[in-house]
Amino acid sequence: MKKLYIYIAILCSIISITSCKKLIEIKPSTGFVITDQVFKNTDDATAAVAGMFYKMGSTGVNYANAGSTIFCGLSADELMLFTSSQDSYVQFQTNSLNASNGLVLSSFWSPAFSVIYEANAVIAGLERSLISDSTKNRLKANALFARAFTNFYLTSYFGAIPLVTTINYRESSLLSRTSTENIYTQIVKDLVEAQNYLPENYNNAGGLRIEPTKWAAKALLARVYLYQKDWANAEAEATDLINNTSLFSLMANLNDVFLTTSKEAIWQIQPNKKQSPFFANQEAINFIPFPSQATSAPNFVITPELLAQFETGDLRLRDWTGQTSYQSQSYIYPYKYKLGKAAQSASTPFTECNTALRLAEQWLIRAEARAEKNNLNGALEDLNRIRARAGLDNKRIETKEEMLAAIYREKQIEFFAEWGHRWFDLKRWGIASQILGPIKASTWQETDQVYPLPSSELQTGPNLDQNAGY
Amino acid sequence: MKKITTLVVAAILCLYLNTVFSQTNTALTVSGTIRNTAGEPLSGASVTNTRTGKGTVTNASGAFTINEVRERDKLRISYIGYAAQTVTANKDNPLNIVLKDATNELDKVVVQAYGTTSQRLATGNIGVVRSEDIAKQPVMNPLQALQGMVPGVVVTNTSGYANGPVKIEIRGRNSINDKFTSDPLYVIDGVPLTILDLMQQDSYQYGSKGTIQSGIQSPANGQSPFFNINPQDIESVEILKDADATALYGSRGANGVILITTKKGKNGKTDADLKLTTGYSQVPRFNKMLNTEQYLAMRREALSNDGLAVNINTAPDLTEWDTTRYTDWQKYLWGGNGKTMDAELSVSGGNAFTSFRVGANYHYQADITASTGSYKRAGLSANINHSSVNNRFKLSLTSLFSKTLSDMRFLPSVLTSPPNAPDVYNKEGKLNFIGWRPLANLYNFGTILRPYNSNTYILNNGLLLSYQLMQGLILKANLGYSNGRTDQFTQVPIASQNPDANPTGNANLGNSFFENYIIEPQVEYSRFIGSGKLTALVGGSLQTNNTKSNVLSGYGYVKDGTMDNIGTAPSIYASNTEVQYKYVAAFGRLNYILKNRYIFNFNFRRDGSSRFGPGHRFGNFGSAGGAWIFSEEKWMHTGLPFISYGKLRGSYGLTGSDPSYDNQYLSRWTYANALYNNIQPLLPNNHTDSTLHWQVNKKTEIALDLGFFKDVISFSASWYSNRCDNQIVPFPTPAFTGFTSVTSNSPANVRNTGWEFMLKGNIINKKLMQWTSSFQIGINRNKLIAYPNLSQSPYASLYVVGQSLNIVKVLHNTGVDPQTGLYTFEDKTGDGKITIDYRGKTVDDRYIIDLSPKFDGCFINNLNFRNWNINLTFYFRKQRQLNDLFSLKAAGGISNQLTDVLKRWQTPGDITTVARFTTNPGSDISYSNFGSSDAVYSDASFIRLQNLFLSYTLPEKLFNGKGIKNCAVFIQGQNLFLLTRYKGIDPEIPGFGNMPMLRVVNLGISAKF
Repeated sequence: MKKLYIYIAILCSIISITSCKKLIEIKPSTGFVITDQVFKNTDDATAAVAGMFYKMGSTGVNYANAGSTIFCGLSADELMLFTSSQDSYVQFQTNSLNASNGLVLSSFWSPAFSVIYEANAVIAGLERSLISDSTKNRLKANALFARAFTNFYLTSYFGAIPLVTTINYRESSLLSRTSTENIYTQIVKDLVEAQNYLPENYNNAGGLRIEPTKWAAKALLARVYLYQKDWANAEAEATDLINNTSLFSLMANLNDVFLTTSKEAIWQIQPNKKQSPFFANQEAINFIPFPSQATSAPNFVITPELLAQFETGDLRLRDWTGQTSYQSQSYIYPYKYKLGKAAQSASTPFTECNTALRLAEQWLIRAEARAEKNNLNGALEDLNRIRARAGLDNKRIETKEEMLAAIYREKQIEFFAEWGHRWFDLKRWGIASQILGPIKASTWQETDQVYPLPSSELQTGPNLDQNAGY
Repeated sequence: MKKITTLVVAAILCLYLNTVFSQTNTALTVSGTIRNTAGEPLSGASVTNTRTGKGTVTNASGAFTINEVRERDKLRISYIGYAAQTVTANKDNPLNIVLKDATNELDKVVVQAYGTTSQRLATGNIGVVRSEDIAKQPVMNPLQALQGMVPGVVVTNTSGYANGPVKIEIRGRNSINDKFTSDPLYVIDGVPLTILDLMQQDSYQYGSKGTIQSGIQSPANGQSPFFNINPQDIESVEILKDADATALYGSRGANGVILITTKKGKNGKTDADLKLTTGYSQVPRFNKMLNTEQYLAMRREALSNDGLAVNINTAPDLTEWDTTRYTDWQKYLWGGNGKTMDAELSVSGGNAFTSFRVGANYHYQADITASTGSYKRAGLSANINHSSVNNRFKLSLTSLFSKTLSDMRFLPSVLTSPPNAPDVYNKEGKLNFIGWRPLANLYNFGTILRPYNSNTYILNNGLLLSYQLMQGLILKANLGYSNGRTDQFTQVPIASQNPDANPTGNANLGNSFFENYIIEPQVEYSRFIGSGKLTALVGGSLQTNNTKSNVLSGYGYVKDGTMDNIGTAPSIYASNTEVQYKYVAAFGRLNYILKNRYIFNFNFRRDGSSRFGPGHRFGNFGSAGGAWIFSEEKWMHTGLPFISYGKLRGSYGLTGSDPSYDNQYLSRWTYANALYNNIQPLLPNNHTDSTLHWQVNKKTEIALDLGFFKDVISFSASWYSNRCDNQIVPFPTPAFTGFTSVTSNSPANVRNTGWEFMLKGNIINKKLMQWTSSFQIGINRNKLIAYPNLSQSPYASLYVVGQSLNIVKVLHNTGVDPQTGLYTFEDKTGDGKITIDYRGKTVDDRYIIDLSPKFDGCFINNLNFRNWNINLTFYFRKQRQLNDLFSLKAAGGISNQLTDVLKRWQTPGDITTVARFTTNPGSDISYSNFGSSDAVYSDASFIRLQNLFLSYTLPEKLFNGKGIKNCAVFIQGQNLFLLTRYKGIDPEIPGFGNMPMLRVVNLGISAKF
C-alpha cells in the first residue's frame, strides 16, 4: 500500500513542477521589440525617432504628405476637384464637412496624433534610458520638434485640440481641448528647447535635409511667432535663417526648389520609397495626371481665382503649373513636384523631397513682420527678393495697407498648393469670409474656418466638445 | 500549488485509512469475474452490497473479491455503459457475471472531462448528440448537425456557404467584447482545437475566421475547421455546459466545452460499412423584386418627385439602356441547382486484445451560384485499440486526416441591379462593363472572373495510454497533436475590372498553419470507502499552440495570364505572422457516490496563460456539485412507484477565460517595412494595460431529472445563472491618445440566466413499431447587470445597464406623413424634434430592441415500422432581427427594390408605410432615420423542418448468403420548409442580399458487409 502513496506523491510533485512558470514562457512573436528594449541602445532609440518622420512620409495621404496641400487647398480658393464623384472630397471643396467624414479622421486627426504619441513615447522612453546625455538630448529634441510641428498643423485645422504630452491613455483619454493660444505656447516651448540640441547642419544625413536641424526649429518658430503676431520675434528668427547664407539661399531656377539638392530647403520629409508608387510623394501622385501627363484627366485643377492672381511673366506659372488636355478641354494643375505616378518606380532615385520648410517663407515672414512694424522699406526689400526670383519687377509701395496686400498676394502665389499656407493665412489674416464667401456662395459659413472633430472621437473621449457649427 | 496537491493526497489518505480500520472479518467472501457480452473483462466495475452499501471495484482482469457478505445479500454490479445487474450472494464461488450493453439512455456512456460517466450518475449538465442523430442529417459540417439538438446551445450558420463559419453559443453571450467569438472549447479525441485569431478579424456576430488566418478575405468570411471533419466519423458529441461539467477545463471552459469523440473499432468479426449518397441543393426562397415595368415606373416617379428631367445625367438607366429588357438577377445569381455526392466506407473488427476501425470518405458539392464553384472533401480516419493480455495496459490511437478543396467566387451583389440592365457578357463572351456604360460602376459581375480557392488539410491525432498499477489505481496519459494548413489563392485579373479605370491586376497567395500539442498525465484512483465509491483524479495539462500565416501579394500586373507567378509582379507585398500560445494547468477531481444515491463531485484547476503579464498569469478555478438520486430511496419505491428515476442536482463553480490577443500586456514596437534616412524605423504598436488578467465566469445550476413508468417518459429541467466579470475587452480609447483601443479588464458584469427543458417519450414500443418523440427548448436571458461609470465609457452609446448586450437602439417609425410623404417618427422626448445621440450622453428619441434569441429548440419524432424508419426534426427559434425592409429606406435611385415599395406614398392624403420615391436620399434626414428605426427590425421567429429522414431496410432474405446485412435505402432532406413571418428570405441569416441557407435533398444507400 505504501507504494501507492509514493506514486501519488511522485505524480503530484511532477504536476507541481510542470505548472511552474517556465512552461508558459512563449517564444516572442515575430517582428516586435519590447518598449524597454527600444531605449536601451542608441540604434533602436534612433530608429524610434526615425519612426516619427517615416510616418509623416508614408501612410498615404496624411497631414504631412499632401493632406494639408490637397484638402486645405480645396477648402481655400486654390484647388477644385475635377469630378465630384467622391462626396468626402466634395465636402472639403464646398466647406460643408461632416463630423463623420472619414478623411478628417484618417488624413488629419489619426496620423497626426499617432506622431504625437510616438514623440511622447520617445520623450518618456529617453527619460528612463541610460544612453549618453548628448545622444539623449539630440533624440529628444527631434521628438519635441515633431510634436511641435504636428501640433501646429492640428491646431491650424481644428482650432482647440487636446494637448497630449503623455502616452498614458488613462490620463490622455480624459483630456479636454486646449485653446490655439495655449497650443502655440506649448509649441514655442518645445521648439525653444529643441533648437538647443538639434544639429547645426545637415551632415548627419549626408547632406540630405531630411533630419530636423536647429534651423528647422527656428523656421517653424518664426512662423508660429508670426501667427501669434509677435512681429519682433518672427523677424528675429527669420533674419537668423536669411543671414545663414552658407547653408541657405533661394534657388535661382524654380525647378530646383523642391529637389533634394535645394539650398532653399530648411527641412524636407523623405517619401517612403520602398512601396512606390503606392506611398511615395503623394502631391506628385495626386496632381500629375496619369497615365499620360498631357492627355489624361487631372484629379485636381487650379481655380480660376488663383490663376487670375498670377502677373504676366510670372515664372512660377511657367515652372510650377502643368497643363493637360482631356477630351479637348485644357486644365491647369499644380506641378511643383515633377515625379508623378508614371515616373515613380522602385528604381527611381530620390531627386525630390516633400519640402515642409523653405527659405522663401522666411523672406515673406520677415516682410510681413516688418510691414506690421511699419518698416515698409525693409518689407519691400524682402518682398522684391521673392518677386525677382519669379522674374517679376520690383514693387513700389506707399502705405502699410498696400504693403500688406502685396505681401498677401505674393504669399498666395509663392505658396500656392503648398502645405495649406493659403487656407491658414486667410484665417489668420481674418479675410476668409471676405474672400471665400463670394466664391463658395451658399455653402460658406463663418464657422467653416475650423474643421469638425471626428465624430468617433466624441464618442470615446468623454471630455471633448465639438467645434461650433458642426 | 504544492499546498493543494498535498491536500488532495491527504484527503485520499484519510479516506483510505478510515476504511482499513473499519474492516472486520465476516463469514462470507464472494469473488467473481465481470465481463461484457464480447467476453472482455471489465476493469473498474463496481460491486456493491446493497444491504451495507459497501463494495469493491474489479481489477484489470475483471475479478473482484468482496467481504462482509451474508448469504442472500444482493450484490449490485454496475459499470458505465452497461445495464446494471443484481445477483444474490451465495457460496457458489466464483461468480461469472456478464453485463449487457445499456439500452436505457440513462446508462449509456457519456464522455465527460477526462473520463466517462452516464446521465444517471452525472452531477453536471452534459448534452449528448450521438452518431445516429448526426447520420440522419445531410450536412457537410458536423456542427450544423447540432442545431437544436441540445437545449441551451444555439448554433447559427453565418453564411449560406458550405465551408463558412458556424457560430456556437452555449447559454448566452458572456463577453461584452464583440471582437471575440462565443465559441466554446472544442476537443476532438482529447486534442483541443485551437486556432489563434492572428489577423484579429474574429467577431461575436460572425464567429471565428477559423482556418483562414492569412488576412485574405474569403467569400464565406472564414472557414470552419469542422468543414474538414466528416460527420459520419463521429461517434458522439458531448456538450458540457455548467460549472460541474466544465470546471476541469478551467480557464478554457468559460464558454462551455464541446467534446467530439470519433468512432472506435469493436471486438468482433470484420465488417465493412458502405454508404453512398447523392442529391442536390438549391435556394429555397427568393425576394420579390420589381420587374422592369415596375422599376421604370418607380424611377420616373422618383425623378418627377424631385423635379428632375429624364436625361443621360439624371437617369442613364432610362435613356441609355434598353428599357424592354428584363432579367431576374436573383435567379441569375443563385437560381441554379447544386449537386452533392458522398461516399463513406469503413472497415472495423478485432479481437479481445486488439480492435481497429479504418474509414475513408469523399464528399463533393457543387455550388448553386451562377459562376462555377465546388467543395470537395476527402478524408481518412483510423483507430486502433489494444490491451495487454493481463488487461493492465491499454492503448487507443485515433487519427483523422482530411483534405478539402473549396473553389468559390465572391457573390456579386446584384440583387439591386436594375432589371433592365444589359447582359452580363458581351457578344465576344467577355464581361460587359462597356455595355453598362455610363453605369459601368454598377456592374458587379467582375467577381465571376476572380478565382478564389482554398485547400485545407487537417490532421488530428489522439493517443490515450493507461496502465493499471494495482486494483483501482490507473496511470493515464493523453497525448495529442493536431495541425491544419490552409492555402488560399485569389486573383483579380484585369479582365474582371472596369476598363475605364485603367485597372491593373493583382494576385494573392496566403497560407495559414496551426498546430496544437497536448500532454496530459493523469492518475485515477477508485475504491469503496465507507458505503460509497470514491474516484479521485489528479492530472496536469500542458498545451502549446502555434499559429502562423504568410501572405504574398503581387500588384500592378498589366497583363492577365502572367499572374500565376507572383515574382513577376511589378510590386510585391509580403508579410508573415506567427504567434504562440501556451497554457499549463494542474487539475483534480474527487467524486464520491454514497449508497448509489448521494453523489458529491469536486473539481479544481489551476491555470496559467501566456496571454497575461508576470504576476497575473495564474488563476484558480473549481466547482462543487452534488446530486441526489431520490428514486433510489425506499420511500419513493413505495410512495411514488411510477417515478422510475428521479435526480436532483446542482453545482456552483468558477471558470475563467482569456479572450485576448497574444502579447497584449506587452508594450511593443514594430519595425516599419521601409527605410527613413537609411534607418529602419520603429513604430509603437499599442496601448498596454500590464494588469490584464483573467476574466471570470461564475456558474450556478440546479436541475431535476425524472423518469416515469420505467423511463418510458423522461423529463428534465435545468435552471442556470452565469455571471461574467472582469471582462477582457479592447477598451476603445480616443484616437488622439495614439491608438483607438487598449486590451483591458472592463468592470462590466454580464449575467445569463435561463431554463432548459427536455421531454422525451417512447410513445409506442412494440415489436413491429416504435415511436419516440422528444421536445427540447432552451430559454436564455442576457443582461448587463453592472457597469460602473458606463456613461463615461466608450460603451455609453452601445449598452444599457439592465438590458441585454445584443440590443440596438431605434426610433419608433410612425408611418408616413400623409401630407409630405416622408417617414415620421415618434418624438419620444417631446422636444419637438427627432434626435439620435450616437454618443449616448443624452436621452434621445430611441427605444431599445433586444436581438438575442428568446428561446430555441427542437421537436424530433422517430418512427420505426417494420422495415421503415422515418425521422422528422423541427427546429424553432424566437427572435427579433434586422429585416429586408432596410433596403426600402430610400427607393427611387438606380437600384432595384422589393415589391413592397409599390405601397409608396404618391399624393397628399395617401396613408401608407413607404415614403415617396426620391433619387436623392440625402434630401431629407427621415430617409436615413428610417434605417435606424424599428421598422427595419421585426419578428424573425421561425420553425424550420430542419431534417426529414426516411429509410427502408431491405429484407435480409434478399441477400441471403451473399454476406450483405442491413442494406437500406434512404432519403434525407434538410431545410425543407420554413414557417415564419420574417420579412426576408432567411431569418437565420438576416440582412438583405445574403445567400440563404440551402435546401438539400439526398438519396442514398447503405449496407454492411
